[in-house]
Amino acid sequence: MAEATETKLCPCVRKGEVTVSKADLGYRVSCSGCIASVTDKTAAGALAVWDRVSARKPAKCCTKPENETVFTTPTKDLVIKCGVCNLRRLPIGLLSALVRGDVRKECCEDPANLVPQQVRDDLVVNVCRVCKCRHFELTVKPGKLNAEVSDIRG
Amino acid sequence: MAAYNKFQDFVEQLALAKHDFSAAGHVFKTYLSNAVPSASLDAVKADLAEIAGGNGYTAGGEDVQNTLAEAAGTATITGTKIVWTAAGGTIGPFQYVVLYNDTQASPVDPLVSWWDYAAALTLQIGETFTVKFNNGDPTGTIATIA
Repeated sequence: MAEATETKLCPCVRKGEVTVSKADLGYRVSCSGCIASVTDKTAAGALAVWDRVSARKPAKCCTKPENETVFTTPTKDLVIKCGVCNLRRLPIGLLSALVRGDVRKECCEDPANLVPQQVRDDLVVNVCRVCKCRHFELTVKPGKLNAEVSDIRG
Repeated sequence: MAAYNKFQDFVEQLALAKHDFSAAGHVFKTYLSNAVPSASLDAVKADLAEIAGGNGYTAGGEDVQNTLAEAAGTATITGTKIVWTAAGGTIGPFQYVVLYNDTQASPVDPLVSWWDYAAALTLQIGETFTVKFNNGDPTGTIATIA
Protein backbone atom coordinates (compact mmCIF):
# COMPACT_ATOMS: atom_id res chain seq x y z
CA MET A 1 0.00 0.00 0.00
CA ALA A 2 1.39 3.33 -1.03
CA GLU A 3 2.18 5.76 1.73
CA ALA A 4 -0.13 8.74 1.74
CA THR A 5 1.57 12.12 1.46
CA GLU A 6 0.09 15.20 3.04
CA THR A 7 0.04 18.45 1.12
CA LYS A 8 0.81 21.36 3.40
CA LEU A 9 -1.45 24.36 2.82
CA CYS A 10 -0.77 27.94 3.80
CA PRO A 11 -3.30 29.57 6.15
CA CYS A 12 -3.63 32.50 3.72
CA VAL A 13 -6.92 33.29 2.00
CA ARG A 14 -5.88 31.44 -1.13
CA LYS A 15 -4.91 28.30 0.76
CA GLY A 16 -1.79 28.17 -1.38
CA GLU A 17 0.28 25.03 -1.51
CA VAL A 18 3.46 25.18 0.53
CA THR A 19 6.43 23.98 -1.46
CA VAL A 20 10.15 23.56 -0.84
CA SER A 21 12.62 24.79 -3.44
CA LYS A 22 16.38 25.19 -3.66
CA ALA A 23 17.42 28.78 -3.06
CA ASP A 24 20.74 30.64 -3.18
CA LEU A 25 21.23 30.36 0.56
CA GLY A 26 19.72 26.96 1.30
CA TYR A 27 16.13 25.83 0.93
CA ARG A 28 13.09 28.08 0.69
CA VAL A 29 9.64 27.10 1.84
CA SER A 30 7.04 29.32 0.21
CA CYS A 31 3.34 29.60 -0.46
CA SER A 32 2.07 29.53 -4.04
CA GLY A 33 -0.77 31.87 -3.09
CA CYS A 34 0.88 34.67 -1.11
CA ILE A 35 4.34 36.09 -0.53
CA ALA A 36 5.19 34.29 2.71
CA SER A 37 8.45 32.36 2.66
CA VAL A 38 11.20 31.15 4.97
CA THR A 39 14.69 29.96 4.11
CA ASP A 40 16.97 27.63 6.03
CA LYS A 41 20.10 25.61 5.35
CA THR A 42 18.11 22.39 5.03
CA ALA A 43 14.67 21.60 3.66
CA ALA A 44 13.64 20.01 6.97
CA GLY A 45 14.88 23.05 8.86
CA ALA A 46 12.96 25.43 6.61
CA LEU A 47 9.78 23.38 7.04
CA ALA A 48 10.22 23.40 10.81
CA VAL A 49 10.66 27.18 10.84
CA TRP A 50 7.61 27.56 8.59
CA ASP A 51 5.47 25.45 10.93
CA ARG A 52 6.64 27.36 13.96
CA VAL A 53 6.33 30.88 12.56
CA SER A 54 3.18 30.44 10.50
CA ALA A 55 1.35 29.16 13.57
CA ARG A 56 1.95 32.38 15.48
CA LYS A 57 -1.17 34.36 16.24
CA PRO A 58 -0.67 38.12 16.24
CA ALA A 59 -1.78 39.99 19.34
CA LYS A 60 -3.77 43.22 19.20
CA CYS A 61 -0.62 45.31 19.25
CA CYS A 62 0.85 43.39 16.29
CA THR A 63 -1.91 44.32 13.89
CA LYS A 64 -1.71 48.08 14.42
CA PRO A 65 0.07 49.58 11.39
CA GLU A 66 2.03 52.02 13.57
CA ASN A 67 3.59 49.08 15.41
CA GLU A 68 4.51 47.11 12.31
CA THR A 69 7.94 47.08 10.79
CA VAL A 70 8.41 45.18 7.57
CA PHE A 71 11.92 44.05 6.76
CA THR A 72 13.70 41.63 4.51
CA THR A 73 15.99 39.00 5.96
CA PRO A 74 19.43 38.29 4.45
CA THR A 75 17.80 35.31 2.74
CA LYS A 76 15.27 37.67 1.12
CA ASP A 77 12.31 36.48 3.14
CA LEU A 78 9.86 39.15 4.22
CA VAL A 79 9.13 39.43 7.94
CA ILE A 80 6.73 41.64 9.89
CA LYS A 81 7.91 42.64 13.34
CA CYS A 82 5.77 44.18 16.05
CA GLY A 83 7.46 47.12 17.77
CA VAL A 84 5.58 46.49 21.03
CA CYS A 85 5.81 42.78 21.73
CA ASN A 86 8.63 42.01 19.30
CA LEU A 87 6.69 39.16 17.68
CA ARG A 88 8.00 38.28 14.25
CA ARG A 89 5.54 36.77 11.81
CA LEU A 90 5.26 35.92 8.15
CA PRO A 91 3.38 38.19 5.73
CA ILE A 92 0.79 35.48 5.17
CA GLY A 93 -2.15 36.62 3.13
CA LEU A 94 -0.68 39.95 2.12
CA LEU A 95 -1.66 39.33 -1.47
CA SER A 96 -5.35 39.83 -1.95
CA ALA A 97 -5.61 40.92 -5.58
CA LEU A 98 -4.53 39.12 -8.68
CA VAL A 99 -4.94 41.45 -11.63
CA ARG A 100 -3.09 40.39 -14.75
CA GLY A 101 -0.27 39.06 -12.66
CA ASP A 102 0.36 42.36 -10.88
CA VAL A 103 0.40 41.07 -7.33
CA ARG A 104 2.96 43.26 -5.61
CA LYS A 105 3.68 43.27 -1.93
CA GLU A 106 1.84 45.90 0.02
CA CYS A 107 5.00 47.88 0.64
CA CYS A 108 5.72 47.91 -3.09
CA GLU A 109 2.23 49.16 -3.89
CA ASP A 110 2.92 52.44 -2.10
CA PRO A 111 4.53 54.77 -4.68
CA ALA A 112 6.28 56.61 -1.84
CA ASN A 113 8.35 53.48 -1.20
CA LEU A 114 9.55 53.13 -4.79
CA VAL A 115 12.80 54.73 -5.85
CA PRO A 116 13.04 54.95 -9.65
CA GLN A 117 16.39 54.28 -11.28
CA GLN A 118 16.78 55.01 -14.99
CA VAL A 119 19.08 52.16 -15.99
CA ARG A 120 18.79 52.69 -19.74
CA ASP A 121 16.67 54.91 -21.93
CA ASP A 122 14.22 52.02 -22.31
CA LEU A 123 14.46 50.64 -18.78
CA VAL A 124 13.39 52.00 -15.40
CA VAL A 125 13.86 49.93 -12.26
CA ASN A 126 11.79 50.98 -9.26
CA VAL A 127 13.41 49.67 -6.08
CA CYS A 128 11.26 49.36 -2.96
CA ARG A 129 12.81 51.07 0.08
CA VAL A 130 11.18 48.53 2.41
CA CYS A 131 11.82 45.11 0.91
CA LYS A 132 14.40 46.03 -1.78
CA CYS A 133 12.30 44.35 -4.48
CA ARG A 134 13.03 45.50 -8.02
CA HIS A 135 10.23 46.44 -10.40
CA PHE A 136 11.39 46.51 -14.00
CA GLU A 137 9.63 48.64 -16.60
CA LEU A 138 10.74 47.96 -20.16
CA THR A 139 9.47 50.32 -22.84
CA VAL A 140 9.31 48.71 -26.25
CA LYS A 141 9.42 50.49 -29.57
CA PRO A 142 6.53 50.05 -32.00
CA GLY A 143 7.10 48.39 -35.35
CA LYS A 144 6.59 50.25 -38.60
CA LEU A 145 5.32 48.18 -41.50
CA ASN A 146 5.52 49.93 -44.82
CA ALA A 147 2.83 49.01 -47.32
CA GLU A 148 2.96 52.15 -49.39
CA VAL A 149 2.72 52.03 -53.16
CA SER A 150 4.41 55.13 -54.47
CA ASP A 151 4.31 54.52 -58.18
CA ILE A 152 1.18 52.95 -59.65
CA ARG A 153 0.97 52.92 -63.44
CA GLY A 154 -1.79 51.57 -65.60
CA MET B 1 13.28 52.09 -26.36
CA ALA B 2 13.88 48.40 -26.95
CA ALA B 3 13.86 47.88 -30.70
CA TYR B 4 11.06 46.07 -32.51
CA ASN B 5 12.33 42.98 -34.29
CA LYS B 6 10.18 41.40 -37.00
CA PHE B 7 9.98 37.69 -37.68
CA GLN B 8 10.34 37.49 -41.45
CA ASP B 9 7.52 35.00 -41.86
CA PHE B 10 5.10 37.50 -40.28
CA VAL B 11 4.77 39.64 -43.40
CA GLU B 12 3.91 36.59 -45.50
CA GLN B 13 1.28 35.47 -42.99
CA LEU B 14 -0.08 39.02 -42.91
CA ALA B 15 -0.47 39.03 -46.68
CA LEU B 16 -2.11 35.61 -46.49
CA ALA B 17 -4.76 37.08 -44.16
CA LYS B 18 -3.65 34.97 -41.23
CA HIS B 19 -3.66 37.87 -38.75
CA ASP B 20 -6.59 39.92 -37.53
CA PHE B 21 -5.42 42.59 -35.09
CA SER B 22 -8.85 44.08 -34.44
CA ALA B 23 -10.23 43.82 -30.92
CA ALA B 24 -12.91 41.43 -32.10
CA GLY B 25 -10.40 39.46 -34.16
CA HIS B 26 -7.52 37.34 -32.96
CA VAL B 27 -5.95 37.18 -29.52
CA PHE B 28 -2.31 38.23 -29.53
CA LYS B 29 -0.13 37.38 -26.57
CA THR B 30 3.37 38.09 -25.35
CA TYR B 31 5.49 35.43 -23.75
CA LEU B 32 8.96 35.36 -22.23
CA SER B 33 11.85 33.45 -23.71
CA ASN B 34 15.49 32.94 -22.92
CA ALA B 35 16.30 31.45 -26.33
CA VAL B 36 17.84 33.69 -28.97
CA PRO B 37 15.20 34.42 -31.65
CA SER B 38 15.95 33.97 -35.32
CA ALA B 39 14.24 36.43 -37.65
CA SER B 40 14.57 34.09 -40.61
CA LEU B 41 14.14 30.64 -39.03
CA ASP B 42 11.47 31.15 -36.37
CA ALA B 43 7.92 31.24 -37.72
CA VAL B 44 5.64 29.78 -35.05
CA LYS B 45 5.70 29.77 -31.27
CA ALA B 46 6.93 26.18 -31.15
CA ASP B 47 10.14 27.37 -32.86
CA LEU B 48 11.12 29.63 -29.99
CA ALA B 49 11.15 28.13 -26.49
CA GLU B 50 9.11 29.74 -23.76
CA ILE B 51 10.21 29.82 -20.11
CA ALA B 52 8.53 27.40 -17.74
CA GLY B 53 5.16 28.34 -16.32
CA GLY B 54 4.61 28.82 -12.59
CA ASN B 55 5.39 31.30 -9.78
CA GLY B 56 3.21 33.96 -11.39
CA TYR B 57 4.08 33.25 -15.00
CA THR B 58 1.33 31.59 -17.02
CA ALA B 59 2.52 29.33 -19.81
CA GLY B 60 1.41 30.81 -23.13
CA GLY B 61 1.96 34.36 -21.97
CA GLU B 62 -0.44 37.25 -21.49
CA ASP B 63 -3.08 38.76 -23.76
CA VAL B 64 -2.01 42.21 -25.00
CA GLN B 65 -5.67 43.14 -25.57
CA ASN B 66 -4.92 44.29 -29.09
CA THR B 67 -6.98 46.85 -30.95
CA LEU B 68 -6.75 48.23 -34.47
CA ALA B 69 -7.65 51.69 -35.77
CA GLU B 70 -7.09 53.40 -39.10
CA ALA B 71 -6.65 57.11 -39.74
CA ALA B 72 -5.38 58.93 -42.82
CA GLY B 73 -4.10 55.75 -44.38
CA THR B 74 -2.19 54.49 -41.34
CA ALA B 75 -3.37 51.51 -39.36
CA THR B 76 -2.30 51.51 -35.70
CA ILE B 77 -2.20 48.36 -33.60
CA THR B 78 -2.31 49.04 -29.88
CA GLY B 79 -1.88 46.90 -26.81
CA THR B 80 -2.12 47.13 -23.03
CA LYS B 81 0.96 46.85 -20.83
CA ILE B 82 1.80 43.48 -19.40
CA VAL B 83 2.94 42.89 -15.82
CA TRP B 84 4.45 39.70 -14.50
CA THR B 85 5.04 39.27 -10.75
CA ALA B 86 7.05 36.48 -9.19
CA ALA B 87 5.06 34.84 -6.39
CA GLY B 88 6.10 31.77 -4.45
CA GLY B 89 9.32 31.40 -6.45
CA THR B 90 11.39 32.95 -9.20
CA ILE B 91 10.47 33.65 -12.84
CA GLY B 92 13.10 33.17 -15.48
CA PRO B 93 15.79 33.64 -16.49
CA PHE B 94 14.46 35.31 -19.61
CA GLN B 95 15.72 37.94 -22.04
CA TYR B 96 13.17 38.25 -24.83
CA VAL B 97 9.57 39.39 -24.99
CA VAL B 98 7.82 37.72 -27.90
CA LEU B 99 4.52 38.62 -29.57
CA TYR B 100 2.47 35.96 -31.34
CA ASN B 101 -1.02 35.21 -32.61
CA ASP B 102 -2.65 32.83 -30.13
CA THR B 103 -5.81 32.35 -32.17
CA GLN B 104 -4.50 31.32 -35.56
CA ALA B 105 -4.46 27.54 -36.01
CA SER B 106 -2.96 27.32 -39.50
CA PRO B 107 -0.11 27.82 -38.94
CA VAL B 108 -0.39 27.27 -35.19
CA ASP B 109 0.54 30.35 -33.15
CA PRO B 110 2.44 32.33 -35.79
CA LEU B 111 5.09 34.70 -34.45
CA VAL B 112 4.92 38.45 -35.03
CA SER B 113 7.86 40.20 -33.39
CA TRP B 114 10.17 40.29 -30.40
CA TRP B 115 11.95 42.77 -28.15
CA ASP B 116 15.30 42.21 -26.46
CA TYR B 117 15.79 43.08 -22.77
CA ALA B 118 19.54 42.87 -23.55
CA ALA B 119 20.45 40.60 -20.61
CA ALA B 120 19.07 37.52 -18.92
CA LEU B 121 16.83 38.50 -16.02
CA THR B 122 15.42 36.44 -13.15
CA LEU B 123 12.60 37.88 -11.07
CA GLN B 124 12.88 37.13 -7.36
CA ILE B 125 9.78 36.70 -5.21
CA GLY B 126 7.71 39.88 -5.18
CA GLU B 127 9.55 41.48 -8.11
CA THR B 128 7.73 42.58 -11.25
CA PHE B 129 8.51 42.92 -14.94
CA THR B 130 6.39 45.35 -16.93
CA VAL B 131 6.32 45.72 -20.69
CA LYS B 132 4.94 49.03 -21.90
CA PHE B 133 4.21 49.48 -25.58
CA ASN B 134 5.71 52.75 -26.83
CA ASN B 135 5.74 53.99 -23.21
CA GLY B 136 1.94 53.99 -23.16
CA ASP B 137 0.41 53.46 -19.74
CA PRO B 138 -1.60 51.38 -19.83
CA THR B 139 -2.16 51.36 -23.62
CA GLY B 140 0.38 52.05 -26.33
CA THR B 141 1.25 51.39 -29.95
CA ILE B 142 2.57 47.95 -30.87
CA ALA B 143 2.99 48.68 -34.56
CA THR B 144 1.77 50.83 -37.43
CA ILE B 145 1.10 49.90 -41.03
CA ALA B 146 1.26 52.76 -43.48
